[in-house]
Amino acid sequence: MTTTLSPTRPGQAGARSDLAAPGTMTVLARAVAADAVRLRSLRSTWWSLAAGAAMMLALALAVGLDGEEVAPAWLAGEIGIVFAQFALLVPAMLLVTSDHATGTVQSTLLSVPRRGVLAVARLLVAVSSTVVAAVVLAAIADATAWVAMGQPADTTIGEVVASLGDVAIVMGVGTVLVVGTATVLRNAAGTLTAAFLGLLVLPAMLPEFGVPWLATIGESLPGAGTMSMLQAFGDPLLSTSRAVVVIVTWVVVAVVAATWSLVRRDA
Amino acid sequence: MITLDTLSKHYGETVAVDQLTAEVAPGRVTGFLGPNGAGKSTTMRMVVGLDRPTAGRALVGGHAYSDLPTPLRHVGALLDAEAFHPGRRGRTHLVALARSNGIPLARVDEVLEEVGMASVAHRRVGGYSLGMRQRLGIAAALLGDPGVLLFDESVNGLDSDGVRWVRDLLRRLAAEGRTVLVSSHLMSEMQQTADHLLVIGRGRLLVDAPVGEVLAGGAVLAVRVRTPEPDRFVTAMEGLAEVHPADDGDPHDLLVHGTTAVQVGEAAFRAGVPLHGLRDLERSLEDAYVDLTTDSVEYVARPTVLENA
Repeated sequence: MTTTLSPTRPGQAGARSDLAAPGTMTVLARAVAADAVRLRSLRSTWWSLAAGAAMMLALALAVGLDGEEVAPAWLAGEIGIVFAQFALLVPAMLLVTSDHATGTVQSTLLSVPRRGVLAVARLLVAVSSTVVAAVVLAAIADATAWVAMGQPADTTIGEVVASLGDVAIVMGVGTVLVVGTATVLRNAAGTLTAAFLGLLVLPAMLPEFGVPWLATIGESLPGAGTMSMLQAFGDPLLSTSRAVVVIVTWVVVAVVAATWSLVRRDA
Repeated sequence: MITLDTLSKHYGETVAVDQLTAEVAPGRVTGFLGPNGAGKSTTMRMVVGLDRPTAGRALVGGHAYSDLPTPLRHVGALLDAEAFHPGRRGRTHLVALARSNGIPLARVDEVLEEVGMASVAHRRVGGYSLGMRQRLGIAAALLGDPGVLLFDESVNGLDSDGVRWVRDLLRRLAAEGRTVLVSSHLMSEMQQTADHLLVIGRGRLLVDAPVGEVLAGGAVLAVRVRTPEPDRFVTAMEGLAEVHPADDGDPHDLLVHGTTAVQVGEAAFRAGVPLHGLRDLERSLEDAYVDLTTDSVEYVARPTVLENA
């Protein structure tokens, strides 16, 4: 067996770090590159993306071929993302929970021991990949619906871009919340349940009971905020300013809880 | 150099590591010995920042691990050979680690070659044997060409060729001037690999000494003698040492306590007693270790005494 290791004299390692200690931005950029490799290298990532794409396309065709009313084509992307977001959230969640489930988190933390940096890197990788996927799929869904409609309602490029921006917000906020929840719970089933309830089920259901305090709870949940950003459902649950308050509050809670959990708890 | 400075870890009432103070020097293999549950793994996890000490600190080359911007270039650790994502290819696992510390990707293929995993590196880890995972873990530890290496139970799951390979690797890494800390509960393994020993029991440091010194700790246990004239031999040894029959039941075999083979041989010569066998019974590291740790084993099987039965 040949030796490929160069001899390291005692003390030399320390000297090397003093000479070429990379700054925090370099450490962060490297952590992002590593997590991007981790995300890309799992089959579940691509299966989830495929499932999300299939859902988006199916809903786009349903919207496009529904001849009852004349609708703008960008409706397709918005309706699609309400449901497909859960498929796209799965890889972001697994990036965190599979690390804990398999023990790979050990080697992750050995390579990036500055946990605050790791938390930020995780969020950057997760949010950028889900948002890009969501916007691209929504654009494809809009185009599909536009073709299928034959006679779509008049729409401008500006409206389509604004709609895609809303899709990006919904996806980005959902991802931050899911990565935050996953970091705290370290468990896939719990995270997915919380995401379903908080982003879709409870905000849609609680106001329906006609009980004021239940409605208030429903309107305070993150899904009430994100869905109010979409135009697809006619009258939004919340005004834009209230929606922004709800969203920002939840994002801050998620980021703080995740960072605290990662920094304070033993791996 | 690894420095443990009154390092302690408590889990509620349980004290896993109790004010451990020691230095692990470069250029030699330091064995970290102790029974299961003695606190070896917890100590190693605190050295690399996975667990937070309740008190005290652990430093690597004078720095806290979490202050190292490119830790893999300074410290390589193999803590848990099962800790891989089964769906990821072996090589990809290393690529992510290389990216995280700015290590060139050529180095990934170099270490895969080094541990003999180059031909299977494109396979998913889920299909690896325990020995292959162990080798992948060692490749990950070597990736940054670090000056400090920690291996927790590094030969578990390896066949005899693999065990010899790891042993040679550890010796070579130490010979290159690196700091090598290897935990094990296998005393025989340490006897062949380590130059220096840290022995712990119930989280406390019992011994910090060269292997030879630990072995010599109790000096010679006894001298085993075979003579055709045991009665004359016993007479010859009167006032010099205690003589007991050996445990094999043969009246010609005797054990002499409290002396050495040299003294027994000379006394027998002066008395004109013929000897057919004369041998120091030395302590193995195993004996020394059992002596040291018997009092500090957490889980001992004890016969149950039934009172008022």
